[in-house]
Amino acid sequence: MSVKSEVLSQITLVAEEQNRALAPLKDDLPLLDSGLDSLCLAVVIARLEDLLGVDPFSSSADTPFPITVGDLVNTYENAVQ
Amino acid sequence: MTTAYGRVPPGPDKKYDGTQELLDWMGDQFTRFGDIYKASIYGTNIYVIRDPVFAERVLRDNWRNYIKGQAIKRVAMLLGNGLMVSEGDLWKTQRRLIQPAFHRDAITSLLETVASANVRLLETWTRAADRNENVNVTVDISHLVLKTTLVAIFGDDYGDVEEHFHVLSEDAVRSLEFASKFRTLGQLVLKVANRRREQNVTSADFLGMLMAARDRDTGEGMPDRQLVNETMTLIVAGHETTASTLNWVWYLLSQHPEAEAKLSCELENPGSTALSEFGELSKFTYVRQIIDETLRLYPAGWLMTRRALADDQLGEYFVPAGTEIFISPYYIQRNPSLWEEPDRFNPDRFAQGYSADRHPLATLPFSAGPRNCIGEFFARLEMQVHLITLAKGLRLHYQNAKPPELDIGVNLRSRHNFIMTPQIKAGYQPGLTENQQSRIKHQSDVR
Repeated sequence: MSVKSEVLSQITLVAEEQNRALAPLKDDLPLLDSGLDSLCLAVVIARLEDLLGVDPFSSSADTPFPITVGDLVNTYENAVQ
Repeated sequence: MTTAYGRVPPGPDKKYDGTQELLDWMGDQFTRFGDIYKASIYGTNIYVIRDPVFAERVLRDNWRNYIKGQAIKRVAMLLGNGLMVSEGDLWKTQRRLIQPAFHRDAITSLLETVASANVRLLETWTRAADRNENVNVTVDISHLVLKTTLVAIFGDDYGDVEEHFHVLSEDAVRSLEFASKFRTLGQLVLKVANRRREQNVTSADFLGMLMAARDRDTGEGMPDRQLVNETMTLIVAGHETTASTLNWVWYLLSQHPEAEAKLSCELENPGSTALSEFGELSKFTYVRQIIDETLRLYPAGWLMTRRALADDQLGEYFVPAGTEIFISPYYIQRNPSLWEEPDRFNPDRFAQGYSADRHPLATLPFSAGPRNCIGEFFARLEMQVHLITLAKGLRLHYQNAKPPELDIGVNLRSRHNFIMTPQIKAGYQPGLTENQQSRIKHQSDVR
């Protein structure tokens, strides 16, 4: 599974578990409008650390906060590389 | 249930689905299953505990076996890999580097800064009382604590950073939007640090101490990335928990006139009001009791999460490696088997000798063990100075007929701002020095 698929799949899974309506996950969708709150995103990040072995937000103060779903995917793609 | 390795705690069949507030849901399960239960929360199997013996096992006795749980990622998004988030050797090195900044002498030097900011707030609220105006306690205290925190961290550079960090007291909601705004402020910290280096400025403030800190083994300083993470951590940790606790202090005092009267009595005692030296604070025993009781009822850090690295045992219960543990100071501190009338505000619980046999972790608002809050001493100093300074002259009346609602985020806060009416206490004369106040009070007592 690609990094992008892994990120999108975890977002979908966490939203389902917490009964949250999720907007269609397009690259330019702002995270603020996605239906996730900060706790959901924290759970996504924790799961991705288990799956991909990286947490870009803990490992670097330079990591910009992702604005869109595409930004979040890019952050992980860069971190995995 | 029992496995080959030991018993599994009882718990609900239904997972937590987010439709009920997590704090309330957790409380319901404690009522059903007792002081430990196993539940599925956010898709993860979690042991939730409100027994101080189990908390002691996780936080103190076997602390090396437990790393921070997945909820810490919410903090990491905001603050990076600072002292609250880091693990292992990085945490150990950082804690060792930062610890001297929180030494009693270093903190005591901030007493005057804290005291003068509180005197100014007293003047503001006294003017409001004169004009029969209400004050926004939540916002005013948030600004006050933010200011003392930023001055303690940035010293003479406070003026350059102040307005940028107002987002902390102005954005009430700790949302993704807030996290996004706040994270960019790390660059500001770096800018101040770089300017100090260029100009060869050394400073005794927290940032100066972090910049000067050297590892005792390697002699190396902190990398810039870590300097930013730690500074951002100090700002948030230093601001929100103290501000929230003081907010609740004023609410609780407004609801309990008998405690407020006892506090007034302690503060009216002539000769006990000078705050020029740290040692003076210890005279105010009831002030400390009020703060302890407020921290018991409304601990800002209401939930701590951990994850077991290897198998462990909590009493008769088996903890498989990978298990997440939720330790709730909120529920430990309201556990009916530890506290009589646990929901009642009663500062006398913390009077000397009141309950000598209480478990040491029956209260843990600053956590416990090696990973406890490094800033507890500073936070307590700030809270004591605030209450002594403000309550000497004023009492506040809560204006809303409805009880406050809780906002359950990373920290436990009030959902709405506390709007209160200040009233100048009899015998208090605004504008006089402390000595003049004491003399007038003494003369009126003699008469």
